[in-house]
Amino acid sequence: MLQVISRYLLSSVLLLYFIGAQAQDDKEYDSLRKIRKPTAVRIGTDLIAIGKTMFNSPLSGWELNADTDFGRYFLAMDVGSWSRKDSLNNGYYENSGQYLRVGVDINFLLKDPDKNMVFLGFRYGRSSFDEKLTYVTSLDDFGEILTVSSNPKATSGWGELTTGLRVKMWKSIWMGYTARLKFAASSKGNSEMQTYDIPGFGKTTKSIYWGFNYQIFYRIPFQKER
Amino acid sequence: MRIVQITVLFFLLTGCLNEPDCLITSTNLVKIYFKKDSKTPREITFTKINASGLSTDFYAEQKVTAVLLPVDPQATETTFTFYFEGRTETMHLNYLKKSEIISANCGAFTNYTGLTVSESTFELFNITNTQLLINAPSNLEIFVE
Repeated sequence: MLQVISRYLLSSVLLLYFIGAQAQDDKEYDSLRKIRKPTAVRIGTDLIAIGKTMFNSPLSGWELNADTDFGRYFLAMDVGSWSRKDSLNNGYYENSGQYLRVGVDINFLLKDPDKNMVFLGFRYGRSSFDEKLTYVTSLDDFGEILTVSSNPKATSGWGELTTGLRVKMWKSIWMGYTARLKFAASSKGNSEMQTYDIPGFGKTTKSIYWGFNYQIFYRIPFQKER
Repeated sequence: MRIVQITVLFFLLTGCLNEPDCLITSTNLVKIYFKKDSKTPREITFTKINASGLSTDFYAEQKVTAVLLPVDPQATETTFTFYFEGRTETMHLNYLKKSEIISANCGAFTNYTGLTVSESTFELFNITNTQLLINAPSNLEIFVE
């Protein structure tokens, strides 16, 4: 827990520093706050998802990210695949599915020649998936009972608040992170099993769930830039 | 700018949320009270009580005012047969089952809800709680003269 808090504390201090500096020049940047025609699309992927898949974590999958600028506003979209295989103390759980998130990020670095970005934003996420649960319970009169429950073709939706950084590393390559505060998950499925893990969201045992992406992007301009 | 500061603080505080507790209150036992009227318990000496799917005799030759009886965890209906005072009465219960996981460490369990009586030879009864819980005061009241 301390690691998590210190990680987000550091990020938030950096974020406040940038925002504070920006506030002093509000008038100068007024024209930069307007919605403008998009100049480029950035396409990227989540390195943490790739790492988890390579190192046989219970969670495996991939995620592709894209955003395009409308002035300081960025239309952002994430698509991904997610599967979890969890051993429980009395059984086994597995799921597999795809997800999509769409939303807007607001950049607080308005006049940066390298198009670096410090942002706050939001997303709406949707997921479709299958899940299966096998477990043993011991009951006084019936002995050990093996139960197999499944939830095929389940769907879920949720909201996210996002914050993060994008920093130009080299030519058209940007790197950065996105921290996600996921909330208000709701699921539809059959009545024999309560959804445990939603692809793209996480475990439903928490009403608020943290997500973290460490991403690399390639920026493709719509017109030749000077 | 205040909204940004509040948002950042919100992000930090929600990072402190913990794993859920391993507290399972669900059970497959239905709690039945016997009553003369809404306030007076009815004491009954049972010859035995049988539950469908089990060969066990419950409460054989016991004088009680309440019983805890198991519903079949592999079905969604169970019939109880009560033998007492030269009478044989039956009650057919239906219920819903839902598998839930608290966490990997706590494991999975079955939640029994939606308790209904589809058939009964008892003339008067009342469902007081449709969910089977360890700490529920009762699930059913049966009125016996």
